[in-house]
Amino acid sequence: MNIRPLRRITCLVTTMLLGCAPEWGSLEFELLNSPPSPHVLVDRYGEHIRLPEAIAVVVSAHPISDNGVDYDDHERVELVSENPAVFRVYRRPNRNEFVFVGVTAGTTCVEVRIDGSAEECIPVEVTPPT
Amino acid sequence: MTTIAIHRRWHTVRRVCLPLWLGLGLGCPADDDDGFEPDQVGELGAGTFRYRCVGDTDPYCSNDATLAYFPDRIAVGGHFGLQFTPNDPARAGHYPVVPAGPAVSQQLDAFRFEREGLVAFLALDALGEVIDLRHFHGAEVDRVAVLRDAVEVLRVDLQPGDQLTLEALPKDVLGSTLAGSLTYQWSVADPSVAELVSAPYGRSPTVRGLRNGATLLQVQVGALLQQYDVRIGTGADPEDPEEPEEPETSESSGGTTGAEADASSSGDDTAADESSTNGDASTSSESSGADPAEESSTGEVEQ
Repeated sequence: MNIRPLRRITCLVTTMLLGCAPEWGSLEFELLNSPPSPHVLVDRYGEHIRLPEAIAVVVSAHPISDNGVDYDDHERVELVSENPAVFRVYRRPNRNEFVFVGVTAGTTCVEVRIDGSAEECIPVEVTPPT
Repeated sequence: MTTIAIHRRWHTVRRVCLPLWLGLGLGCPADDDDGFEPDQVGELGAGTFRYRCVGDTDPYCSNDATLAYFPDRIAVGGHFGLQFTPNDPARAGHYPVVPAGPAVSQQLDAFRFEREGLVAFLALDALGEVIDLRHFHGAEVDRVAVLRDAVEVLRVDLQPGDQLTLEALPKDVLGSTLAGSLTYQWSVADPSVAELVSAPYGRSPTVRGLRNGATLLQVQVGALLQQYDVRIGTGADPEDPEEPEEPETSESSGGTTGAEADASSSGDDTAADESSTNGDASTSSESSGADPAEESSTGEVEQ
C-alpha cells in the first residue's frame, strides 16, 4: 500500500497545526558556467554527474522536498566527494553554489548532506581528458 | 624613436626581472606598456586573471605586437604563471591559483602543462572556496617556426663573415603560437661552415657564416628536434667539386633524428642582446672582421 499520499496529507494537516519538516526528495542542479567541453553532463535532478578530467563546472544546488513542504533555503547543503582523487567539490562564497572538478578518470559518488544528514550519494563519472 | 624607446624599456624590464625570476622564483607581469593585455576576466566574472611570464623565452612576453593578447594555448612543458585579482577592492588579498588535476604541475608560482588538453585553474580564497576560474588549453609543440623580420623563413642564406639573428616561435598543430617559457637547445651540424655566436639556449639564435657550404641549424625543444637548411655563400663546398644539392626545407622534420651536432656556441650573446635592444634583431646581419665590401652583403633568407 502506498502510504506517501497519506503521509503528505498528514504532514499538510500537521503543518497547519504544528508545523512539519520537509522530506528529502532530490537535489536540483543549475549550471552556472558554460563548460568548455561538450562532454559535461550534470543531470538537473541530481541523478548523475559526468565530466572530463581537469574540467570545472559551477552549479547551484537546491534540495527538493518530497512531501509538499518546501525547503526554506536556510538548510545547509553539503556535497562531499567519496573519492577526492577522482572528483573534487569546492564551495563558492555564494550559498549553495559549488564547483565540480574532474581530477582523474574514474567513478565515485558525491554524498549529499542536508543539515548534516546524509541523504544520498550521486554517481559521478570522470572521463579521460578531451 | 618610439619603437627604440619601447625596446629599451623592455630590455630594462628583462634585466630587472631576470634576477628576480632566478633568485626568488617570481615572475614579472607581462609588459603591458607595450600594448600587451595580460588580464582576462574569469569565467565567473568575479575578477581578473593576469598571465605572468616565468623566464625569458615566452613569446607572449616579447615585444611582438601580434602576440599582444592574453594567451589561452600554452605549450606542454612551458612554464608560466597566473595571478588573480578580485573585482571587489574590499576583498583584496592573496588568492592562490591552483590547477584542476595532475595535468598541470606547480612549483612555487610557476605552472607547467604535463600533457595536452583543457585544464581549469581555480582562484581560491582563504577558506578554500572558489572565487573564480578559467580554463586553459595545453598543446604540444608541433614545430618551431623561425622568423626574420617577423616573417617565417624556411632556409637561412648568409655570406661568409655575416651573421643573422633569428626568432623562434613554438607552434601547435593548428598553427597557433604557444605561450610558456620553453628550453631551446640550438646547434649547427657542421661548425666549419657556420657557427652559433649566441648562447645555444633561448629563442633568438645568432648564426654566423664561416665559409661557403651548406649545413643544418638544429633546435631541440622537449622531444621535438627540428632542422633548418643553412647555405653560406653559394652553398658550394670548395673542397667538394660536385654542385651542392638544393637544400630541402625541413619544416615538418619534427622528431627527425638528425646527425649528432656539435653546438658551436662561442658563448658570446652580445649580438643577440644588442639586436633585441635596438629592435632590429632579425636584420642584424653584422659582419665580424669582414672588409667593407663584404659588409655590404646582407644575409638572405628564402621566404
